[in-house]
Amino acid sequence: MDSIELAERKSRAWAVMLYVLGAVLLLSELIGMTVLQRDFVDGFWLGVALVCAVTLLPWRRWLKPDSPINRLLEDEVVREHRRMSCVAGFWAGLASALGTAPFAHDGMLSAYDVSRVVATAALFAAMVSFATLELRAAR
Amino acid sequence: MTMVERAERKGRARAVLFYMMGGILTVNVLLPLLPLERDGDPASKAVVLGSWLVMIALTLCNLLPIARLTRHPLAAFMDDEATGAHRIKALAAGFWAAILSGAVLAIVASYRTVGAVDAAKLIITAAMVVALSSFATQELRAAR
Amino acid sequence: MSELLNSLKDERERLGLTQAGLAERAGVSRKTINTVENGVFVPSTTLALRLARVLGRPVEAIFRLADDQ
Repeated sequence: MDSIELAERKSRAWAVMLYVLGAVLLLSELIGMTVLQRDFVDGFWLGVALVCAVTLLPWRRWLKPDSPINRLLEDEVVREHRRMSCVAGFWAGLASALGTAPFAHDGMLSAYDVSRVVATAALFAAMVSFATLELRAAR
Repeated sequence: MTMVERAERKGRARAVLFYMMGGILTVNVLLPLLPLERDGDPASKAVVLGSWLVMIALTLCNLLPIARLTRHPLAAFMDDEATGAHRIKALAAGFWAAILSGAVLAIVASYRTVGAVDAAKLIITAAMVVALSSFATQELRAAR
Repeated sequence: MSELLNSLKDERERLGLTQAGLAERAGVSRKTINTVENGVFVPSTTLALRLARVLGRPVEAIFRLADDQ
């Protein structure tokens, strides 16, 4: 398998992983805020959120910029997709912060809850957007 | 003055305005958190919140490529490729600011009482201020 | 959508190259070639020049402005 095909396969797998991670993040947030308000679930959410944040960073370019595969996995289009997905995350974060404000007023939500809701919305939107753009480009 | 010169002047003024808006937003969100504001009556708190919301709405309008919707001859110069690229980078920076400020707030909220509305305002303000400053800085740097 | 039109696909097929083949020669992913061909992604000047060099054609033979029609 040549490097182009390998890069394409890795890119598709990465996109699928982003969808899965995003879903796990969203689920753990929903569960943690409703039915299972436990420290374990909080910790799990935090771990998943950190991993999600890392997936959106250009770590391949930072760690091994000269690798031929990494150069393909981090080319112009991928950088553009990353920026566009961060923009989607920005708007989702903003909308969720504004959306939680009415509920925050009556003490239904704490500051910690608001932080988690915003982070979840922003990361989820960014990851789903990134994955969708990547898969659409690879069709 | 040519269109390009006019657009350059307006672009610089817009960048300065963005810095100012960022500063005002920051002051607006931090002021109610200071002890001297804590005994404010609900009416004055509502006014502060209302003014903050209006500012956020105006700032958001400035971060959107609204100029392109107008048919103004300057719009094409003020919202060209470079500005579009600057906007995307600025919003991406705002995204990371929202994530980081949320993370910091979550930690702080474990040790100190932070109001949920204050938390939402702080996160939004952090995201907007970073986006505005980043946009303004890129625009001014490009215009040097 | 795009102000830029291109005949990248025609030029690529003229040389009997697949998208992957062109991607390999240009040093980018196949996704990039695909999105440029479909007009979804506007390539940077560097990439446009690289593609032109790989295809052995002047860049303006491959890319042109939509209002040049």
